[in-house]
Formats: sequence, structure tokens, C-alpha cells
Amino acid sequence: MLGSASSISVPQYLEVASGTGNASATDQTTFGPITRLGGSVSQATINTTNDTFRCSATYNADTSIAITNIGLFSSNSNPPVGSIASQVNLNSTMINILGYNNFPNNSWPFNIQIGSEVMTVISGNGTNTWNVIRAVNGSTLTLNPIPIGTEVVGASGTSNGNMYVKSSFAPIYLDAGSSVEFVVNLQFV
Amino acid sequence: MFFSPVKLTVEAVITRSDGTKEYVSAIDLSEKVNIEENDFNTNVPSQE
Repeated sequence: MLGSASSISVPQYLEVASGTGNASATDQTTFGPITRLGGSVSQATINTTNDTFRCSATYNADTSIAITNIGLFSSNSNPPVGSIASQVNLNSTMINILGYNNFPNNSWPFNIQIGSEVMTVISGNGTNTWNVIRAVNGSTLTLNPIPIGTEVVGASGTSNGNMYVKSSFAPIYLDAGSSVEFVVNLQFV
Repeated sequence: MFFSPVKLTVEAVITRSDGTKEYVSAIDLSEKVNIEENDFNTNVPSQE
């Protein structure tokens, strides 16, 4: 399972994040990503020998922060992040974004996630205006207007790569100088 | 394609700046497991 070299990636990078939201199977990235950590990967035994994939990583806080969710990725590159520049209404398929140049430039399609809604960016004009398909990957359309300043995170098709596991939980509050080690166990039963 | 079935658990060990440790076990987080068939069999030696 975790032996010699291979061309297929193992989800061994753990991203810690501080945004709000409940993890969903339709998510493609974390809420409010902070950073992505190289994890330590091993096999473990819970019931049957080597039935568990384990990935652990430690985040060291240099300022006070609340960790609210984590994700496991096969890529160590952080996702592109921007924010909504103009309110996005229920039926809008065009969005304006700040930080658009953090995302693939004129290379379509790629996905973004705003809150829990995943959108596919299908075209743009090379500036801050994108045309999107709303509520893809089985995600739920955001019914309320999406306000200015809402975070936009790059998802599949960007440097985000593919997320394989995500979890949201009650905030873990860290002060500067403290740390948290996450141990993710994925048992095949 | 999903492997069937998987059980996800996460534990957290917090080390405070004064050195004290806090354990958070079995965080409830089975909301998303998106493992595809080839994700974990990459390095299996040939069975030939």
C-alpha cells in the first residue's frame, strides 16, 4: 500500500484551515486555508494487519488562531485564493473577483469553491470577470446573495489539486507558540 | 470509484506554549471521504 516508488500520488499533505462551514462530500477544498503541511504517512493496524492509512502532521501557531477544518491532498501546493468583488446573486453566472491573477489565467475550465458551493469557471476576459457554472460537483446552490469580500478558493483544476479527505470540527484554539498534531486514520474495513 | 467502505477518525494533540498537552480524540469528521480506487494501491509490489 505504501511501499516503493510510484507515479500515483498519495494524499499525504494536510491542510489546516480556519474558515466556517460544515464539511461535505461535495467539497473540493477547505474553508479558509492557512497552509499545507507535509504529513508523515504510515500503515497502522486497528482490526486487521495494516488495515489503516495514517497521516499525521503538526501545525505550529505563530499567532492566535482557531483551526476549524482540515483536508488531505496529494499536492503540497497551496490553493489560489481571492475574494468576491461584487455581490453574487442567486441566478448570477458572472462573478467579479479580487485576486484573479492568483488563479489560472485564461486557462479554462477550473473549479472554485465559495463557501460550500463549487463552481466551474468556464471563461473570462483575462481580468476580474469570470463566467461560471453554479453548483457543480453535486454542491448546493447558494440561495442568499454572496457578499463582497467572501473568500474564493481554487479547487480542482488549480494548484489546489485533489482533496481526498476533509473534516470540520469544533474550533481548536491555539495561541502563539502552541501547536497541534493531527492524526488522520483511514481504515479500510 | 470509491473503495468500500472506509472509516475515518482524526485525533488531535495540542501542545500549549507552556508545554501542557491536551488530547482531542475521535473528532467527528466522517463527512467526506473521497478515495478513489488507485489512490492507495500505488505502491503495491507486483503480484505477478
